[in-house]
Amino acid sequence: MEMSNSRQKILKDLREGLKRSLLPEAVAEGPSLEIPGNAGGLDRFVSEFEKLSGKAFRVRTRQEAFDLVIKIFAERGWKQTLIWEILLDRNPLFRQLLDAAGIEVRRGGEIRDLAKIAVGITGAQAALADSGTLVLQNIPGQPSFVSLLPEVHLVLLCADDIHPNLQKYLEGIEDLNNQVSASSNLVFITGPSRTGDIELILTLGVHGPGEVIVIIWEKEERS
Amino acid sequence: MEKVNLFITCLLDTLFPDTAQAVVDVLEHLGLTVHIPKGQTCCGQPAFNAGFWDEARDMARYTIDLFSKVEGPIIIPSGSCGVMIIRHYPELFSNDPVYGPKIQALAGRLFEFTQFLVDHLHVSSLGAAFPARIVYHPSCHTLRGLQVDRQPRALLAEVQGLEILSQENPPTCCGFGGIFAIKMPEISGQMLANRLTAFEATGADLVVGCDISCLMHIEGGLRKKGSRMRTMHIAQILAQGLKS
Amino acid sequence: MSTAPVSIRQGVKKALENPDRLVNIQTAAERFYTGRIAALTTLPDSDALRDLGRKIRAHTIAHLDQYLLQFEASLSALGGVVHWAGDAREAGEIITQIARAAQVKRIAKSKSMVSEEIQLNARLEAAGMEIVETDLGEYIAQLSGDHPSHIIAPVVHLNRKDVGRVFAEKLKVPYTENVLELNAIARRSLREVFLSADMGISGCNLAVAETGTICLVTNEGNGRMVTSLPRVHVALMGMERIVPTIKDLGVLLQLLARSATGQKMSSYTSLITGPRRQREEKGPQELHVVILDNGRTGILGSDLAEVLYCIRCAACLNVCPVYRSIGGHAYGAVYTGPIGSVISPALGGIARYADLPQASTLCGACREACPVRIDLPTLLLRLRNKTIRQEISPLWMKAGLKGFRWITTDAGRYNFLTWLAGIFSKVLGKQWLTWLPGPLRGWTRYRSFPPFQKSFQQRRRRAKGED
Repeated sequence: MEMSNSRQKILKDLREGLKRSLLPEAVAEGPSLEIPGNAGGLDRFVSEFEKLSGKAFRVRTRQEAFDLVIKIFAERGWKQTLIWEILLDRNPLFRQLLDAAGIEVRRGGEIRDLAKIAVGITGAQAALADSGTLVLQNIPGQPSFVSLLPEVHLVLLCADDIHPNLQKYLEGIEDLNNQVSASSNLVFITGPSRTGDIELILTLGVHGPGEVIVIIWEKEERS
Repeated sequence: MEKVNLFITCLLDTLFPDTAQAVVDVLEHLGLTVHIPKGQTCCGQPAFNAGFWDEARDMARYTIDLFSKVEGPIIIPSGSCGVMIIRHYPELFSNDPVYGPKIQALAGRLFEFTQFLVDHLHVSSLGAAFPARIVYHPSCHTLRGLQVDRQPRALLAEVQGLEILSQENPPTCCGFGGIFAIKMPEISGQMLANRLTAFEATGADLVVGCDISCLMHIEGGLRKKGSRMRTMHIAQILAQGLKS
Repeated sequence: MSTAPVSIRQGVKKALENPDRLVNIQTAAERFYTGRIAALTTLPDSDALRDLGRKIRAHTIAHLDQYLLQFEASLSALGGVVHWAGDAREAGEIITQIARAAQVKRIAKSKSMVSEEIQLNARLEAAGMEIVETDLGEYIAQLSGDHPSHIIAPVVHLNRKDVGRVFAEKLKVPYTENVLELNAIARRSLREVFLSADMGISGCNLAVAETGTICLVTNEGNGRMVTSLPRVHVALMGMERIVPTIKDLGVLLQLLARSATGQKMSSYTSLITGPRRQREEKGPQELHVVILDNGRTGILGSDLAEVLYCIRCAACLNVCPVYRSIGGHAYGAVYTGPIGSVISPALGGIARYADLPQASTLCGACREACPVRIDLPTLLLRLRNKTIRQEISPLWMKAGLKGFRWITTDAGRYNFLTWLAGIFSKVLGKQWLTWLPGPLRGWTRYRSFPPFQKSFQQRRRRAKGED
C-alpha cells in the first residue's frame, strides 16, 4: 500500500540522515526543565487579565458569585444563556437562582441555534496568574462551544485554582498525560478573541467571544 | 616595548591608507612596536561570503601561513575580518589536522583594534581631544559577531570635546554586506537610505565606526546625497585627537 | 505554478513601486519586534528559557524517528489516524481521500503555512471540494486572490479601503472602511462556514509525542471552530514540529507567543488529543494527522539540519533589515525572511531559490532574535556555497572572485596590482568616483566610490627604503 510505503521510506530516510549526525549539538537526554518562573496569585491574575481587556470581579464566596451573575444578567438584559451543565449539577442553588430570575438555560438541539445565544457561562479548572490565562477542558458536562460561540464568555473561578505560571501548573498535575488525554480538547484562553489583521488595528471578538468576564471568589465554603 | 603585529586588511591597505596609518599612530603612541608582516593580503571573506569556499580556503591558507610565522598579538582593525578568522575559518577547515590547530592558535591571539586597547592594554583614555558631534555606528560583525561594543564606546567617551549623540534603537545594518552591495543593489540602497535618514536626524557632523567597509558604504551614500556629514574610523578620531 | 528561478531583484523593484505597502509591513515588523522585547522581559530569565527551548528542539530532532513513532502510537490508541506523506502531491491525495471517504463538500481551514507549501487549496479544489480560509487575513487574501506578505499578519500590506472593496465585491455587502464593521462582516460570513463545514483543516504548531497531542496557537477563535465543529478534523504537520512531553510544550509555549507577537500567550492555545470521546457533546468524530516530509528528511541529513529547530514564530522576519526594506512578496516564496531564505531553497530546490540566501548582509539580527538560537547566517553561508557548487553564479562574480584569489595568494602579484592602482590614482585624482563600469554600476547608483590610493603597505616600503 502506498501509504505504509511512505511511512517506511520516511523513517528510513530519517534514520539515515541522523546517522550522518550533522546536527550542531548532540543532546542525548531530554533536558531538565528546572527554570525559574514568575510568582503570582490573585492580584497578578486580575492585573494581567485586565490588560487583555478582560473584566474581573472579586467576591468573597461562591454564593456571592452566583448572585453577581444574576445581577449582571439583569443589567445586560440577557434572558437566555449557554452554560456548563456541570456547574448546575454541582450547584443546585445556582440553578434555582437562574430559574427565579427567568433566565432560560439553552441546551441540546442544533448547534446553529445555540450559536445565536449571546452569553455562555463556564467554570475553569485552573488559571495562570502571570499571563491572565484560563484553563478549560472539554469533558462531558463542560462542552467547549460554551466558551467559543457566544459573544460574551462569563467564567466562574475560585481563587484557589489560580497558579503562578504555566510551568508550575503543569508540574502540579498528578498524572499529567492522562489528564491531557482524557478529552479531545483542552484550551488555554487568554483574553477575548482578537485580530490585528486589518491595518494592525486591534479588534476583539472576531470569531470567538469579544468579551470575557471573570468572577472570582476568594473563599471556598462548605455549605 | 611590547611588539604587536598588525593585519591591516585589504580595504584599509588599498583604499584607506590614511586610516591604516592612524591605527599605527595610535598603537605607537601607546608605546608599542608595530610590525606589519610583509606580503599580507586578504583574509578571504569576500570569496567566503559569496560561497566560493575553495577560493576562500586558498586565501585563508595564505593568511594563516603568513601570520603563523610571527609571534605575539595580532591586531585587526576590522570586525568583519575578525569574524572571518575567528568564526568562519574553523568552518572552512573543520577536521583539517594541519590548519585546524593553526587557526585555533591564531584566533587565540587575534584582537580587534578597540578590543586590544581596552581589554588587553586596559586603556580607554588616551588623552585625545576632538571636538565634534558624532554618532556611533556599531557594525553588525563587530557588534554581534565579535561582541565588541563596550570597548569602542569606552574609548569614544574618553575623547575630550566629543559629543556622542544617541540614535534610535536597535542598531540596524547599514546594508553593505560585501558583494551584496552590488549583487542586490536595490536592497542595499534602500537599507542605506534608511540608515542615512536616521543619522541625519541626529544632527551629527560625523558617523564613527570600527569597520571601514560600513563607513565606506555610508560615506559613499552621504556624498551622493550631497550631505556634509562624513565618516571617520575610530582610529582616526583617536590619532587626530592625539595630535592636538 | 511557475518553477522558474525566483528573481529577488525583480520582486524588490516591484515592491519598491508600492512604498505605502512597505510602510505597513515595516510598522507591523516594528510592532511585533518591540512586543517581543517587552514580552521577554516579563520572564524571570528569558535567556535560560531560550537555551532550554533550543535543547528541547535539538534533542527532539536528534531523535525524531523515535518521537514521531511515539506520537503515532499515542494518537492511534485514542482513535486518531496518523498518515505519512512523502511529498506535496501525496499529502494532497491523502487529504482528498479522507474528504471523499467522509463525503465532504465544504472545508473550513485555519491558518497553516505547510498547507501553502503544498498548495493544498488548489489540490482540493481540483478534486471538487470547496475550501474556505477562515483566518481573517487569509480569508481576505483568498477572496482577493492575493498572497500573504507576512507570516503572522498576512494582509498587513493592505489597508481598510482595500479590504472594504474586497468584501463589497466578493461578499456582496455594502462598502465600508470601518474596521469594526469589516470585522463584523467577516464574523458573520465565516460563522456560516464554521457551522456548515463538513471538515476542518488546521496546521499544527507543535505536536506532543507522549500524548499524541496537537497544539494549536491562535488568536481569533477560528482555529477552535474549525477543529471542534465539523465532523472531520485533519491536521497537517511538518514532521519536525514536535516535542517529547507536555512539559516540553509548556517551555516552548512560553517562548512562542512572546517571540511572535509580544503576547504572553495567544488568545487560544488548544491541546487537541484525539477525536471526540464517547460522552463529549461536540467534537470531530474523525481526527487525522498528516505528517509531511516534502524535503525535511533531506534537510535533516545535511549541514542545514539546525533549521529544523524552528518553531515558526517569525521573530527573525520582524527584525531583519532586508525583510523590513522589501516586504514578503519580494521573496517570491511561501516562506520568506531569514527563515524562508534557508528553507525555501532547502525544501524547494537551490536552482529555483538561489537568490534568497543572497538577499542578506549576514548582519546576525535574526540569530539574536531567534528563540531557539538558530544560527541562520551560517546556514545562509552554507547555502551560498552549495549554490556555487551547483555552478549557479553570474560570470562576472565567478571571474572577479577567482581573479581576486589569484591576486591575494601571492605577495608579488598583490604588490604589483596595488602598485598599479596607485598609478591609477594619480590619473583619477582624489575625488570619490560617481561612476563604475559593468556590474559595479550597482554600487554607484546609490553611493560614490572612494578614490584609488597608493597602498599603505607600499608607502611603508617606500618610507623604509625598501622599494
